[in-house]
Amino acid sequence: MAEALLEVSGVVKRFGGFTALNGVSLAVKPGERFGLIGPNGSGKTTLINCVSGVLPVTAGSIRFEGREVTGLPPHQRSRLGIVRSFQIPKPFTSMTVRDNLGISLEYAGARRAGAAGHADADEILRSIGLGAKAHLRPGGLTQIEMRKLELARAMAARPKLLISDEAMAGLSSTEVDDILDILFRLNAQGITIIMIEHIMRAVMRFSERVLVLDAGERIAEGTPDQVVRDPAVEKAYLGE
Amino acid sequence: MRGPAGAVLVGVVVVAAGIGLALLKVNPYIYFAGYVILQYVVIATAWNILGGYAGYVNFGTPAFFAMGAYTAVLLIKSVQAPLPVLLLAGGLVAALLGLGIGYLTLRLRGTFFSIATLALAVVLQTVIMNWEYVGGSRGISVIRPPGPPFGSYVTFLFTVMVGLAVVAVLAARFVERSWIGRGLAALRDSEEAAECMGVPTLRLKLFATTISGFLLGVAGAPFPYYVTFVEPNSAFALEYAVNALAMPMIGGTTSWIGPVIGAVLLGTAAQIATVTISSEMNLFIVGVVLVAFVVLAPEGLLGLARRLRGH
Amino acid sequence: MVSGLLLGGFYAAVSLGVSLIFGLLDIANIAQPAFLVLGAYAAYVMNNALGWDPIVSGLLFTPVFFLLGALVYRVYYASFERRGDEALRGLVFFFGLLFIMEVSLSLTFGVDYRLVQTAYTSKSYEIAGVGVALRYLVPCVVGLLMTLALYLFLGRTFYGRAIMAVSQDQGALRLMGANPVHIKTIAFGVGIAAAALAGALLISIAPVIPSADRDYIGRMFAITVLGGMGSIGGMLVAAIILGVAESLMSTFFGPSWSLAVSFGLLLLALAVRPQGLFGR
Repeated sequence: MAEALLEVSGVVKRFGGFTALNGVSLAVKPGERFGLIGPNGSGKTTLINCVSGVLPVTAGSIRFEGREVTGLPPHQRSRLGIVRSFQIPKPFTSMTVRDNLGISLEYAGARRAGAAGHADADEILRSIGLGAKAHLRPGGLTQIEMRKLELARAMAARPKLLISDEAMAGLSSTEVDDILDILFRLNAQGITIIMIEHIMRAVMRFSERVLVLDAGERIAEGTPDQVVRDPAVEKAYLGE
Repeated sequence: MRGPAGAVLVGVVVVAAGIGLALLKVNPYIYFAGYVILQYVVIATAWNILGGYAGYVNFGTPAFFAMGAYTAVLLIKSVQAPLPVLLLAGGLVAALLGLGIGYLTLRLRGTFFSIATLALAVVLQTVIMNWEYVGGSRGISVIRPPGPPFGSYVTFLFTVMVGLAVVAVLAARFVERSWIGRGLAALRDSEEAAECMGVPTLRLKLFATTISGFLLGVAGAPFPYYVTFVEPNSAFALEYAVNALAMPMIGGTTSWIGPVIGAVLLGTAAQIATVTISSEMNLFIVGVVLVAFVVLAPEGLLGLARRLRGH
Repeated sequence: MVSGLLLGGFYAAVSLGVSLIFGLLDIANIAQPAFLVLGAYAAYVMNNALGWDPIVSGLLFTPVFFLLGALVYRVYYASFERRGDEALRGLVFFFGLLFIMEVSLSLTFGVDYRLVQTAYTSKSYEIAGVGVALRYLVPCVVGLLMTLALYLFLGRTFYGRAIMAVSQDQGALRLMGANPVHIKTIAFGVGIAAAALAGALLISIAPVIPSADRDYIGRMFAITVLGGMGSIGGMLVAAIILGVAESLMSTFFGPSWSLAVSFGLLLLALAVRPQGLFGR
């Protein structure tokens, strides 16, 4: 039984009187394709913020590769290999696309012991179809190009675990397939991927296992087929 | 462009030119005005390392500048310390101030840092005004030491300021082009994304605040010898607060060249204005220009130039 | 001690605007103290020219300052908020405003202290054996009334509730049919009007000079942060704490140290504040 790469145990997150996460636990195996879904406001992004370190947890623990990372700041977690992309892209607007990746390469990607050398930023950009835009500033990119930049920048950080936060929202069908392709390829290289998405066909096609959140709690977990047929999930999405 | 060695060489040449100018003994007003303008080159450059590169706005420049000046006063009065010691000590004290304020506020949003710096200047002025040993609110007289290495004391101070300006600009340029500078730019553009891509944002911010503070203190250290009478209202002058913002804003905040351009342009204009209109009117105009630039041309002259060239 | 409490009531009036604009709307309007001083000078001019009581003229000027505040917000919104640039440039913009206002006052009125003569400037009452100067009591009472008024406004009126909503979730506000920009304009206008009225109170208490704005930056923000951003009740408590602390400091160490109190409280508030950069 493979040891979990990421172990989230009983994570609670409260904002003042509001409980966003109420004791969420999950375990992601190395190399797994893991889907995280749930209605709006269910706490998906909050969970990701806790895992990546952007938010401190109120209670619970997070372990990565067997070690406790609960108190670590985000920059240290990314150096350990936990890398996330942002739902609303946050590119470094004053730099070129290439330099955006340069930051990840320089700060997170190269510093880890055993990192397989310096993947060229241009190489990464070419592999996802942004090669021609390397010298441009993010301001000149289209929607899907921005999403790709988010992923490329995360890739440049040499992740062991990549968390993709709604990278496909608002994209056309072909664009969704484009992004899905990239994620499949990354997984084939050995990168564990957690995908947060609302686009069901993408999540179902991509994930080996899916966890469903609603109002900060886990309401279902299993293979895509199992989850889709779970009455609790149906209720959560279709509501009263 | 040139590597660091080339830049240092240019710097040495500039300092040599400064010494040459000092020895030429032109109209003495040139040295007084030149000192002020060069002082602003240091101030604007120092401010920009934190404000332009990292995006954290320091409204309390007078606090740091005055810390340098009053540390010098303290050392002059107590042990007649030589100028190099004054420069170093002034810089270090201001650096510590920067580190302190940074440590207390930089984990919060940039807004809180800015508010704290604004309040800091007021409070520090109160402290100094109550400290009799350095003159309190009445001020203190400072006697220039005998025998400057060359020329008169004023021309000597002028050259010192040339040197400090070169040092400040070289430091800024070095930071800007290093991995630190790239990290600062990333955290300026999106602090959250930078942090998640491995940039140790807190450490870099503290570094920038400390360096910025150091250079501001160094700019203030020769001040007592320059004015020979130091009082809180002039050391903590409002000019420093607004010019430290306006000069980089006008010149352009993303590169070391911007503050230099801004300091030279605005500094020279201010020198001309002070003899033609009242200093208060001059301040008013600077304020208006600042607001105009931040609303209409936030990237400064450098940004405008870049846009004209079609980037 | 009593004077500390009275001072606290006045400080509540001073900080109402910041509580609204910074605490609720999250706009770091550091020019707020300048509006305070501007309001003080407006009251002075009216008192000087027509002999009006400053508080009366302050109240009458409220709509003027409301409109001024609305205008300032529109410029701010058009230049920064809409572009998403607000952090750095917005701060500099407000600082520029602060600066221009202070220098303009200097140019217009010079740097001498200006004061007003009112019916109660030198009167005082005896309350429970303690002498209470009217010129402290009246502003304090007005300050408390202003605080109550704002509290009711935020809790009971449509616009007030809309302002509370906008501070939490702009999306929901749009669904309510209200335009967030419109709501924020109103809030900003109210905040500035509050500052100006507090300025009228200020000049009733003590003479003013253009650079008085610097004394109030620390106080305004210390009270707002300490009180819990956006909580009117918390702000009132913080204002009273500051008033008392400054009073005590003044009694034991002399009046010139009072600014250190607000700065110290500001740093304390920031240090104790549980929400860091990444925690919300």
